[in-house]
Amino acid sequence: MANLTAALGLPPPPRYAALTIAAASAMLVGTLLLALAFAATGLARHWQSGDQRRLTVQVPQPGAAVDGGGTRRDAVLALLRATPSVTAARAMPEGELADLLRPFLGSGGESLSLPLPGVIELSLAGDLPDPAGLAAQLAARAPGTVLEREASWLQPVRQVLQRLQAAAVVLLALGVLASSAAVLAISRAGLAARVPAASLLHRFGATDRLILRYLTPISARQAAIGSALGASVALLALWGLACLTARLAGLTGWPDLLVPATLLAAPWLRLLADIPPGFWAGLLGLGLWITMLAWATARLGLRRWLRRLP
Amino acid sequence: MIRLEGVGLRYGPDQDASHQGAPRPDVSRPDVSRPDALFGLNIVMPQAGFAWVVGPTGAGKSSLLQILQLDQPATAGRVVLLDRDIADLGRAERLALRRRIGVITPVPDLLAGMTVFESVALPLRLESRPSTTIRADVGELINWLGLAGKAAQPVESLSLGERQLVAIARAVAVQPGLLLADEPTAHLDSVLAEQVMRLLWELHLLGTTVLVATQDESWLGWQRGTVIRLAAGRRVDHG
Repeated sequence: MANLTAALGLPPPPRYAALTIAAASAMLVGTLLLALAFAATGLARHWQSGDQRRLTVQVPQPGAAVDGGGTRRDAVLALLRATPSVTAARAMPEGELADLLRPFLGSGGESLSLPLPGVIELSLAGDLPDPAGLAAQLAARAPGTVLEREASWLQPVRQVLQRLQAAAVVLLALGVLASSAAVLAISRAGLAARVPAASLLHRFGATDRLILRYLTPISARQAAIGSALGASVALLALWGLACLTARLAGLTGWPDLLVPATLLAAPWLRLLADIPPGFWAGLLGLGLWITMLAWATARLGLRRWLRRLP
Repeated sequence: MIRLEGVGLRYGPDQDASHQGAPRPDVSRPDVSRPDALFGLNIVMPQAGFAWVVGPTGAGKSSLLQILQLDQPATAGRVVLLDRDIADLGRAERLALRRRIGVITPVPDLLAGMTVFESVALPLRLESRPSTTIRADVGELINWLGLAGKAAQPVESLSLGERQLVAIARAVAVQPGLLLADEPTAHLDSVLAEQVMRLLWELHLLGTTVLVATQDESWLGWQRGTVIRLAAGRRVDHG
């Protein structure tokens, strides 16, 4: 196009700023919805992987001694490790438990002298043959011990997440549809800015091909720039949201993220590494779709207009 | 040669290129909502002819020029331009014919962002003329019209009269076979107007067929030429 412009001494083709803004808005909405869809899918998958094959056992007063020596925790662990279909039994260290509870109790949670139970995580090779029998055995070995089957409370959570996932996909589809319609309409409206140049060139006997080559690539360029801007703003918003979430979860301190060195190093890399490749592919596809849509609309619209000319 | 036989033009929704040359549908019941702009025009001009198209506002001068510059298909009759019946032309042939027709509009239609030189050179570049020829021809034309010092200026920085001169230079740069000028001197002072008319007359002497539409009949005595007088879409000069 640049060669054509230079060869004919033509000015740069007229721009239509509304197209850039429309593409940026479409990409912003699309990126956020894409992130929502991926987040919902990731959450659902995460909780799905918990599945039926994990158990948690809570042992009150884990350090108290039992008859025959050892602590209540040791006695329960020994029983669990001898149970068929239990492949691993791990006593959660107190520090790890404190980390889990920190968002609820605050940083001073450890100094509150709360009677925290001992937590043991079990991994199973298959279904537990007799959960009720095991619970009774545990209660006999260390009274008050609770066997918590994650599947029982995970089921409704999984259902909610599956619905959220479906809703996110529908929202994404609707968002892309609405954004595409906006880009299409504005790209068509932008043709009016190109009519005088097209009309003049047509009068001088320029071929339709030459006119299209001169006047349509600008639409693709404007849409691509708009898409890049929209995606950048959306990614920035998502990054901010991720930092905020991390802070709420107590994973990292918000002030740390304001230190340039930290900002440019760990959080960025960790966040980028956590984003699934499919998200980047979706983002690229969305940008290409918006750019192609703007270009094709401009090209087909202008071509149709030229064809109507005598 | 230019030949118009029974040419009519009716503006309306059913008017498109496919009606070119076809007889007008049922004219026995006039449709007042779609008035006819031209009725049964007959015009014959030899190659290198010079004609004045005169008449009051609404007489049909611009409509006639629009048909001749292929911007508007006639809804009745037959149009032969530069020895080609335009009803027989395909799209590519029509484009080729357009390159041989120069058009001067009452309001200069220049592309903003182009310089004076680039504007005048545009039709020559579209014809892929050699750059040395373009430089020489455009330079000469710009000099002749008194725009030499403004060749590198963007056209939007010029006065309306100067822009009209650029549009005229652009229309005549390719030495077209047919030159259609609609009120070419509308924005020019008397000295420049006469200079432009002299340019058009010289082109006619060099072999270009020239039609000048004007409301200013004082030009009729300036040079002899065929007079095509229109009134309410009809030819009334008995030519």
